[in-house]
Amino acid sequence: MRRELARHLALAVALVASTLTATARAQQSGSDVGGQPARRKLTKMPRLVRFVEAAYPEARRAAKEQASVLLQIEIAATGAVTTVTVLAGAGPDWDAAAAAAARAFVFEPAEVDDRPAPAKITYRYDFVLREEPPAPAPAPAPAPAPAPAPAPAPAPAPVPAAPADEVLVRAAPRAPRETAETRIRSEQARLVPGTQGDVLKVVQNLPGVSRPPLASGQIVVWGAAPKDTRVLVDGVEIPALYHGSGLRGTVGSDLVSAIDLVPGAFSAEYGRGLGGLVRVTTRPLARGTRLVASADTLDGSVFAATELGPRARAAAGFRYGWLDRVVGGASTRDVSDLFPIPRYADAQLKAAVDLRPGETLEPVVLVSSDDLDRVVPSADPAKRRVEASSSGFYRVYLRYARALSEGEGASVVPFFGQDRSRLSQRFGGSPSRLDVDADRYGLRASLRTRLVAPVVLATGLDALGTSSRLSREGSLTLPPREGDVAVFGQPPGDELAADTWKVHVLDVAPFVHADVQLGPVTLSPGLRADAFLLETSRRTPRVGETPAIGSSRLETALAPRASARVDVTPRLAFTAAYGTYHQAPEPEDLSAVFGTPELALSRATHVTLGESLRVTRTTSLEVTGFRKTMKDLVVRSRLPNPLLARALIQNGEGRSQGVQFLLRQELWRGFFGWVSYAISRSERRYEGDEAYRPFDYDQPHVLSVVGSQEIGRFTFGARFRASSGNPRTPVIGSAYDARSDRYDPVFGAQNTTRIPAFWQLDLRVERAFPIGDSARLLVYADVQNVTAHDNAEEIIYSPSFRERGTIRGLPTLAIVGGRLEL
Amino acid sequence: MKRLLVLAAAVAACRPELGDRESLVTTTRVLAVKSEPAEARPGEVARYELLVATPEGPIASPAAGFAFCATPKRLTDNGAVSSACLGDSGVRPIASGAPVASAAIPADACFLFGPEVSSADLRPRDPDATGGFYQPVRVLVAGADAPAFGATRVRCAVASAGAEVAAELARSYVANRNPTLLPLTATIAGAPAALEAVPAGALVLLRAAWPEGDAEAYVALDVASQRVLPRRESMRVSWFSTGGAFEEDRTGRAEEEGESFTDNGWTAPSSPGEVHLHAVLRDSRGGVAFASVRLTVR
Repeated sequence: MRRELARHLALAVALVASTLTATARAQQSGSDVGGQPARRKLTKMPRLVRFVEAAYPEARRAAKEQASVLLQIEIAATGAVTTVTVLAGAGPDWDAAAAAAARAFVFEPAEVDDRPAPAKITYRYDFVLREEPPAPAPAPAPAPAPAPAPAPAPAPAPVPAAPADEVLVRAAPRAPRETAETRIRSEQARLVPGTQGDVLKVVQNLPGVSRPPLASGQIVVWGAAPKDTRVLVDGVEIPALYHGSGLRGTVGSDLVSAIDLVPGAFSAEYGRGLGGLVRVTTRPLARGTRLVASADTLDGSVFAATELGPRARAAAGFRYGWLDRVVGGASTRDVSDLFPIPRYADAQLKAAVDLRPGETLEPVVLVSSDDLDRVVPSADPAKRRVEASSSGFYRVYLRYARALSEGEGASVVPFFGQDRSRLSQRFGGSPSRLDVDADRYGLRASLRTRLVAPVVLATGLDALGTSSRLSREGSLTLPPREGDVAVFGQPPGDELAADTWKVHVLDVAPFVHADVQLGPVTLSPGLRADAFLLETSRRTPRVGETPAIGSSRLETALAPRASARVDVTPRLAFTAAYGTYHQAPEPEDLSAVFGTPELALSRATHVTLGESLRVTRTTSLEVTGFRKTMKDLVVRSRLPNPLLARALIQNGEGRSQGVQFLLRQELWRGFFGWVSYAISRSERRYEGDEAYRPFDYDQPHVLSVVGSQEIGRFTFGARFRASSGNPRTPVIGSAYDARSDRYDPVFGAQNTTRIPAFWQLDLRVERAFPIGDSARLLVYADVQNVTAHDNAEEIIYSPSFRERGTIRGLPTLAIVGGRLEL
Repeated sequence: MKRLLVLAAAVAACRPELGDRESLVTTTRVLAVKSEPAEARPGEVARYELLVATPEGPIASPAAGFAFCATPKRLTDNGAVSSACLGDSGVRPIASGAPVASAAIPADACFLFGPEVSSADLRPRDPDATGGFYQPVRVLVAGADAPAFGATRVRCAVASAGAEVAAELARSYVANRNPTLLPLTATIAGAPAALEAVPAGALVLLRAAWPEGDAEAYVALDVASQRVLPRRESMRVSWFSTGGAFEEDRTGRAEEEGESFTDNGWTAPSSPGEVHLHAVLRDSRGGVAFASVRLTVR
């Protein structure tokens, strides 16, 4: 009967695509990787973290009687026990004692797709007479592997309980699994070499992601520009996944539950980006108190979580970077010239309040900041360089979620926040400055309802407003943008302009998305309707005290999305997805002096075709072919004298296509890892040009091999990366500018040479030291480029451009750190 | 809380030094192009004079081809001139085979390289940090390592400023003049030294100086505040030699520095011989002066 139920429920899971009600056995056959849009997976069983010993009925003790009581325990998504029902009693006194004890149990909640979910378990409470004193309750331990998931931890002696043999889990509604999606749980991400324990840095190793340049936190997926990819935390967009130079993520790792990378073809729930999505899911707050402190060469952090009563919990995290001081005391000037190291800090606050069973309210605050000051002295006044940059953001959001049965549910996330960015540079007598302050506000709401048995409908609203105040001074070519022809270290043009302007962009996008199960075929059509209100304060450059005339426009865009999955066999499925995407211009581009206030939306079309093969229960192979075409991209005017307030135009076109492979081993006997390889080609051109040229970040070959093995108290990890170098424009000559006493390069065809290919091997070892019953210390060493391979990071030239060389990357970077968990 | 082990890592990125020092003359090079006057209006005549150096010394009368660049660069090019001016199709010839050349600044200089536009719908060019615009002059010298471009600062109408500000600027602005480079002086270990006889391997402190008023005060439109602000020229000296080694390739004084000299150390070659030193003084508005000295290392 139970197996029959499991099969029935597994089918229901496939139908609703977002909600799971199945036995553990059935759920474990799901996938954790992309190409599985219809399956939800139990990624964590409920786990008993506070056991309460039942009062042994005195009369029974005197009579030396023993008994077992079979209970059904309902556990909320918070881990609290909501209901205890006696399924098979042994007598009123036995039953009452067992039920009373079970009501005081505290669990780590079950998780479905790494999100907390209500669960219902059967639990046998055994009353056993023993003479020794009771042992303490089991200490919290790291989350168990997702598969095979263990049964709930048995009660300790003297009242051992049998493992629960049936678990029912009800998932909170969440975004549908995308066709091309890779999800990494934080427990695994933390162990990947090269991440230094930062779970967000694992994104750089996922399929479809190009290797970023040294000292860059840019994310380039499937040939999209870094600014075209959106980063969301619990559905709320943040401006940056990484602190400056890509050293750390902007959200503390201990608050992160999982990371999804969707390089393209995502569903109607998301928009505003031509590239991909990085979705960060914060960790549910469990009962009990937890304290984590860690420190390494880069920074130190503290994370604390506790319960504030039976229905509320709170957590706080803080991190402060000190690498700038470590390096500043021991390095040459070259390091800070090539690898600017900011002072960074971030903090997080999260609370959770249980309103009703299955209904939670979670206020969250995220804060991040980066600061960098550099002074490069020189006897030459034209080469004196002063640089000060500061950036940061905060977000405040309130996440309401209600999980109903059968996958139905609702979530509402209103939010507000602010982004700020200040960059001030002075090269000799030429100043350069860009200040941006942006207020962000919005709402993300979704409702999932089952229309009929095979159809689940998700409707919602995704709204984001950005009110920006900008001020810029300096050359048009600083900061650079994709398509600029320049060599590393080349000064910007010495022309000087200035502008101050305001921009307000409001996008309100209702969306609808359905999952329709037709036998082995799952169809997921969707539609998103974006309405962009674009307001700028000035349509033409300021001349004297002439009053500014602003503009206000409404741009609308319908974005159909669709995906399909065909389960050919229980192990093999084919997938396909299609979508159109729109992106509003950046506020920086809407200047009447440096850009064009009348810029409209850029557009892209994504198409994917793939297969998903489950080789074994824990091994999968995914192959995904993709093609992106982009139109109306914002590019610089190529004219010597463009029209007024038309320094940028929308004549850019792009295309990107390729195939990526992902062979992934889920946790199995202490090992997990993956091999990802992508072969692709990304190109750009001006509309009307005969030929495309390689995209500035084009990397035709990207290979990542990641593995981690736990052996006793040790965990060993290795990461190997290899990739093509980014394209560069060759220098074929030079001319001497006698006015500024420097040579200017004469360029050949754009992007027709490349930085030499890159490869690097990184290793990681971690050892756990238990400290008493409730704490442990983890000490790790993370060594990057253990072979000290001489990687070229950039092409450089002699001052006269007659000789060419490369900047070599970091030979070896060893980071040793520790982590104390209480 | 336990104090955790924190170990610093070895962090080092490497940028190799490529090519010779810029101050070392190893090939035939145009070191300076001087326009007299340094600033002119379209139609006014400017005279161009060169400093061309070889490893054997300066060329007294270099045979050069002069041409006005007639093709503006694209709005977003980082370089000083359009690459079209490297070819003959993008220039207007002035003279060839002569060490100097004179020509009237083209009438359309302010349209091609300045802020003036033929239609109000077009975007005016942006000035440099001193508020200036420049007419490039291409110089081709046989055997030189690269084509060279000098420039004359051109007086043009002010764009992107109100009438009142433009009038104030026109009223207050004083055209740039070329600075004067006073004779180089040298000291060795604090004692004055004669440049004609420098001990081999000696560290010589060279001083380039200019008259106090040559770092001129001027006014310029501050594009951010749309106000006319007083400024002062910064001064740079580029140092060159055919032997020995300078401590710095260039030295100078920033706008806020009032000194009218700049020093540079030079280590004489370790073996006796003849060395040619060149110093090129530039002000931040395009003015140029230069001098060459022949030294004997004993």
